[in-house]
Formats: sequence, structure tokens, C-alpha cells
Amino acid sequence: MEALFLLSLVAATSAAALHLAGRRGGGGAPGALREALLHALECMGLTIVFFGANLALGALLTLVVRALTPLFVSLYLSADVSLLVLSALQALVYQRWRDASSRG
Amino acid sequence: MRAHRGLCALGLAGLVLFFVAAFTPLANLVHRSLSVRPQVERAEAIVVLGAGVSTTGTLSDSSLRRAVQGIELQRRALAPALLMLGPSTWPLGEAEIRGTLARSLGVAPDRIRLVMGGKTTREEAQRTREALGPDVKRILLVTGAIHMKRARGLFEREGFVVLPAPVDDTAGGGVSPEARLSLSVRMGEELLAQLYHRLAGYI
Repeated sequence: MEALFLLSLVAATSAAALHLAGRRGGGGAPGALREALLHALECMGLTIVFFGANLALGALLTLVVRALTPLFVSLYLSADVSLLVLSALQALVYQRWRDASSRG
Repeated sequence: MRAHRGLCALGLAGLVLFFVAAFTPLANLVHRSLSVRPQVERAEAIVVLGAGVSTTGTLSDSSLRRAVQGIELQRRALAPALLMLGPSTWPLGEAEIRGTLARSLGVAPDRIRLVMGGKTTREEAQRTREALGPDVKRILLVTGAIHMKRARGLFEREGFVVLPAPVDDTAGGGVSPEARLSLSVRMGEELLAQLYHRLAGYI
């Protein structure tokens, strides 16, 4: 029930955005939507790559600190949801920067 | 172009995984299969593993659940000793806070033992062996249902016969997409931890 409610919200606002874009004549073409979806999928892929790299680096640093110092750092320290959000930000900026570089 | 396709495929896989984890009951089914069945019988000691405390001295949800389960088992006279574990933290350690809770809920002070300083489950198993001595064998082990398999292996390595008394750390599993995602993350962490312990030869 909760899942259906949440998915309905997303479907409704997506439909409204598509409708508005179509009326304004900016980016409402089906080909452009396909391009946007592929762009979004690529951004998600980049997010996963950055997230994996961040997690691996976090685990490595934790083990190095444990091995070389008397300090204890938990391996769970890197498993924070904020790292996923930051990874998504990294991916978005990297994608935009790469696209802007290839255009100019 | 190949990198672009690869990233799109990875993104699609991530999206599918997200939808399956958040919007289907798969996480709950996997949780059930990973959980260890309880075997609550008479033992020589009840061992309650640590699960975190804030710097203001508030037990985490998991820590409180485990402590209450341990107290309940002790009140049923299933073992003469109740061991509360937890790392030494400032200003108050988790074990001390749980010890105070146990006393306030009617456990006799001479039945409570605080085992402080263990920062990992492996260290907790070693410290429990030191605290109980070499003769104690049968223990009722109280920890999260997902964590129990790894914890059991580590305590058996210390020579204990482990009777699992798992606590449902997830409060009944995931009933909302957010709860199912959280459960999936927790299970993922535990599977990685089990892999690490196997590679390191700890279990």
C-alpha cells in the first residue's frame, strides 16, 4: 500500500512534467525523452562506480589505521547513506563536466 | 561509446536492484533465510553482545532490544550469570548502562557481569572467554538475528557451545520501502562481514 502510494506520487508528477514540457515545446519529443533516460541511467552507473570506489577506499583506510595505529575505526563508518548521496553528486558533476568538455 | 553502454547497463542493474529491494518482499524473504533459529535452553551464562551507544549515554535500538532480551532470559532463570558487553566509551560504557538497566528491572546485582572493551565481535568472544574462564561451555548468546551466524562461529572458536537467542534487530522486517532498503543494506553489510571473517580465517 505504502509502495503503491509512493509510486503513484512519482508517476503523477512525472506525467505533469511531461505534459508541461510538451505544451511549452521544449524537450517534449519522444527521442529526447529516450536520450534523457539513457543519460539518467549513465549517471546512475557513474554513481555506483563512485560509491564502490568510496566504499573500497574507506575500508582500505580503516584497515590501514587499525594495522598501523592503536586507534580503532569501525568498518561500518563508511556504510553511511550520506556517502551514496555524495557519490550521486560526484557522478552528476563528473557527467556534466565531461559533456561540457566534449562540446567545447 | 563502450564505456557509455557499460555505465548504462550498470545503472539499469542498480535501478532494478533498487526496485526489487524497496518494492518487493524479497528483502524479508532473504532475511528469514539468513536468520538463525532460536534454541533457548538452560545454560551457564547469558551473553548479550554490544550494539552501540551514543555519547549522551542512550542505547541504540538494537542495544536496547538485546539488553531486554538478555534480562528476560535471566528473569526466566535460564542461566545464573548475565554478561552485558560493550566497548568502553566516554562518559559511560554500553555495558555499564545495560547493567544499570538490568538492576532497575529486577536482576540481582551479583548475577550481572560487565565485560567491557570489546570493539568487535571477535574481541567480545575473546573477552567473554577471559571473563568466564575455561570451564564454562554452554552459553545463551543474545545478538541480532542477522549477526548471529557470524557471532556463533566466533564464540564456538573460543570453545563455547552456543545456544542462539536471536533478537529481531529489524523490528519485524521491512514493511515500508525505506525499511526494506534499510534491511537490504544491513544484510549486505553482514554478508560482506562474513566474507571478510572467512578470508581472514576468523570463522
